Amino acid sequence: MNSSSKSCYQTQLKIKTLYAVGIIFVIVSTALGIAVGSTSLSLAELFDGLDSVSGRILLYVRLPRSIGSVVCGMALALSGAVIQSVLANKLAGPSIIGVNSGAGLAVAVSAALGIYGGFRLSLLAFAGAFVATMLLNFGVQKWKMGKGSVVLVGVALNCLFNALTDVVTTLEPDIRIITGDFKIGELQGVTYSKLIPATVVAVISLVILMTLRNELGVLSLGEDNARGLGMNTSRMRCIFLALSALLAGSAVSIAGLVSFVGLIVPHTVRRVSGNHPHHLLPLCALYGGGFVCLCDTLSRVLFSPYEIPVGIIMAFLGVPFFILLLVRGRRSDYAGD
Amino acid sequence: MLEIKGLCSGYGKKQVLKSVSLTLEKGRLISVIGPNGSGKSTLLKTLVGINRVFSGEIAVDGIPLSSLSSRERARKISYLSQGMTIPDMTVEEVVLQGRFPHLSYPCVYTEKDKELSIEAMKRVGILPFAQNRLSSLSGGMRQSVFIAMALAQNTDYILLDEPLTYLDVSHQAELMRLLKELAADGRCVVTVTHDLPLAFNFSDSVAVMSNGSVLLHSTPCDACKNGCIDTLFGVQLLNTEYGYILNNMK
Repeated sequence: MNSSSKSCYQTQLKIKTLYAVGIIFVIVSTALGIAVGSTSLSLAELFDGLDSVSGRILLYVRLPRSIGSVVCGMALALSGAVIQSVLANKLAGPSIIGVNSGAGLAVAVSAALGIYGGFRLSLLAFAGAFVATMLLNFGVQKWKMGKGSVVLVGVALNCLFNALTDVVTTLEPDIRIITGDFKIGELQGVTYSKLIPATVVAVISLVILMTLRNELGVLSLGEDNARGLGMNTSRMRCIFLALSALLAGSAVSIAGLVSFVGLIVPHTVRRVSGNHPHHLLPLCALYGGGFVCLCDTLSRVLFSPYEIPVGIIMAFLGVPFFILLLVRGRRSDYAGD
Repeated sequence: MLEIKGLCSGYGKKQVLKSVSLTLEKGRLISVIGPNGSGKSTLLKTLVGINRVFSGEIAVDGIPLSSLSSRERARKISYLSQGMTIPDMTVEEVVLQGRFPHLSYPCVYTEKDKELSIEAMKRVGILPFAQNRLSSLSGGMRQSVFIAMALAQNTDYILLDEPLTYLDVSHQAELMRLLKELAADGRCVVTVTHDLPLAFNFSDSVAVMSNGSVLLHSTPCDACKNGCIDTLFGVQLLNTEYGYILNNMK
C-alpha cells in the first residue's frame, strides 16, 4: 500500500468512526433523556404501561422532550453549517445573525394571534427566519459586504427583531410568560402539537439538503469559480438560505431561541471531519441532535428538582466558545473579504 | 476555436470592453497582458458568463456561447479566478469539484469522476498530497490543485486569471511550463499575467490589451518588435539569446 492510498484509507476510517460515534452519541443521549429526570423512575416503572403515572410521564413528557431536543439540535447545527458556508463566514450562526430572532418574532406574533402549535406555527416561524435570512442576503449581494460586515449587519438585525418581539409582548401582555421562556430557549413545554409539524419540516429540509451537499461544496469555492463551474450561484444561495431558515424556524418553534448550537457544533465537527459538506452536514445533524439532548438532560438533573432552561446551559458553553473563535481563529475566517 | 467578434461587455451598466475581436486556437498557450484596468479579467469573466455581454458575439467551436446553458458552457470552458478562495477541504475534494458541470441533480460524484480527478492530480503531480488539506500547502501547490480541478473539468479551453500571483520565481516558471504542456496536449490555455518576460518566453502568442481593447495579438517575437510594450508599460522588452528580458533602466 503506497502512502497516498494509506492516507486515503486512514481518512475513510476516521470518517466511518465519526459516523459510528455520532450514532451512538444520539442513541445514548436520547436514552438518558428518557430515563433521567427530576422524577426518579426505575427502568421497570418506565415501561409499566401507558395508564400508569410513569407511563404518562414517559409518553407525554420525556419522549416528546427528548425527540424535540434531538430535532432542535439537528436543525440548528445544520442551519449553522449551511449559513456559514453560504456567507463564507464561520461566525455566522443562526442565533448571531438574526435568523433565530426573526423566527422568534414570528412566533411571538403567532402567540398574540392565538396560535400555539401545529403547522401554522412552524410555517410562521419559517417565514420569520426566511425574511431575516433574505434581508441579510440582499444586503450582502447589493452592497458587496465583506465577511466582517455580514456578521455586524446580522447582529443589528438580531437586535431589531428582538426589539420588535418586545413591542409585541408589550402590546399583548398575556403572552409575556410564553415569550419569556421562549427567549431563553427551553424544552419544558414540548408537546406533540408543536413537535410533529416541526419534525416533518426539519426532516424534509434535511433530506433536500443532503441531496445538495456537493452543490454547497462548489459554492464554497467562491462566487466567480462556482459560476465558472456552471452554477447559478444566486439561485443556489437562495435555496440554501431558505432551507437553513426552514431548519432554524422548526427548531425555534419547538424550543424557542436556543443559542450557539449552530456555532459550537459545526465548528467542532469541522475540526475533525474537514469542511466538505459531504460529511460535514450529516455529522452536524448527528452531533447537534445528541448535544442538545444531552444538555437538556443536564438542565433537568444538575439542580434537581429545579430545572434550568437548556438555553442557559448553551449560553454558558457558547459565549466562551465564541470568544475563543474570535481570539484564536484565522482573521480571514470572519473578517475582510 | 474560441472566436470573439466585436465584444462589448462590463460590470452592471459600466462598459469595460470596447469591441474586442480575438481568435483563440486550440493547442496554444496565449498570454493576455496589459496595464491594470485594461480589461483583461473582464474579458475572461465575459467568456465564462460572469459578466454580461452588451453586444458582439462569442462562439466556441462554432456554437454561439449565448445558446449554451451555464453547465454546457462549463463543459467547454474552465476558468480559475484571480485570488482563489482557499476552501478548508482536502486536495482530492477540491479537484473532484471540477466534475460538477458534468453532473445533474442530485449531484453525486461517480467512480468515473473520481478516476478522472485522480488522473488530473497525477498530471500535475499532486496525487501524493490528495488527502492533505489545501490550507496546509504552499502557494505553488495550491495553484497546481486548482489547475488539476480545471483539468478534471475536462474542457478544451482553460482560462486562468493571474495564476502567477503570490508565487516565487521558480514556481512561476514551473507553472508556465505546466501550462505549456497542457497546451501541447491540444488544449487552448489562456492566462492573464503581469509578468512580461514569462509571458513572452513561454507563450505561443500574446494578446496586448489597453483601455478595453485588444491592441495586438501576435507571436511574442512580433509583439516585441511592435513597440507597444514600451508605450504601454514604459519599459523595454529585449529579445536576447537568453530569452526575453526586461530593461526598465530608462
